[in-house]
Amino acid sequence: MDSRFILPAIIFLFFIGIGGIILNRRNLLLMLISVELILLAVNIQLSLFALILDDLIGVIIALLVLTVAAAESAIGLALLVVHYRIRGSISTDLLRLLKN
Amino acid sequence: MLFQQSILCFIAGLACGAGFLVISSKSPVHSVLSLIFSFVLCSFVLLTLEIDILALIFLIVYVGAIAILFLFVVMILNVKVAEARANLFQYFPLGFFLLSLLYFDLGLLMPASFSVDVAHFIPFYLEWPKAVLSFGCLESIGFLLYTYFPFYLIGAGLLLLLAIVGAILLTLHRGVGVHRQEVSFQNRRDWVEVLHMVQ
Repeated sequence: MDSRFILPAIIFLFFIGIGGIILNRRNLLLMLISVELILLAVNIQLSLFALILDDLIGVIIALLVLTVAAAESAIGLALLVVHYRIRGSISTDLLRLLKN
Repeated sequence: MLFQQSILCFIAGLACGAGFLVISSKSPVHSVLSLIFSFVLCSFVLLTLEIDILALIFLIVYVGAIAILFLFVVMILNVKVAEARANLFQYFPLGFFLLSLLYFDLGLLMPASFSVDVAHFIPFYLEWPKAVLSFGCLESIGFLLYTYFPFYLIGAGLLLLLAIVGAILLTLHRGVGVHRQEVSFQNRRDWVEVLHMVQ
């Protein structure tokens, strides 16, 4: 089945993720969620291109990107919890812990 | 065929709508729920395209691990909504400019690199033994992963170990007033100095 017509929708999902990072710059949690959205769009694109080009290496790379997404969300949320414990807020305007 | 394509378009459009709800909803809980909805719809897309094992892995890892992690953090932190949405459209012009630049760049790049007709290179006859004895999705992925890319597999495992150790080290909270047993100090203690004869 030809599945190229679904590529623009997934590209649009990728741009929604980037727009979420830019628009929600105050909230660190929403930025992490937008990063997850971007990685999801990239994963779907890799799987679709593996299907279109009939090449299985894209699926392997999608699995690796899935691993990276899991590790990134775990460490990012740990950093978020630590920052919230120190500062009492998750706003990115207060990300000045290294400054003084 | 057309029915399948229209269903796929509908599911992908719903996934895009859920992604838009993720970035535009007021509460982080609604945002995480929309994220779960988007994950499930993208998994449906892969399932419709018959990449079934990858769809199931996406469903397990994204919905079962990552989204639940986000839900836990949202419920731990108890974020106030109003402070996070103070001025939303401060970065809007710059962001719109960068996004449109990237979009048109991708639009310039896209047709040139995507005009490869792959079906032209594939021979059109059908090898019946290969068609009968062929692997499924899971077998072929496992064969490729364990035979040709074992180092990527080990690297992914090390990355997950690093994530576990890093998250535990970051969030380990040592209490101040809690008495703990230092194991090495306890093993170094001599019993002669501890015992006293009481006259």
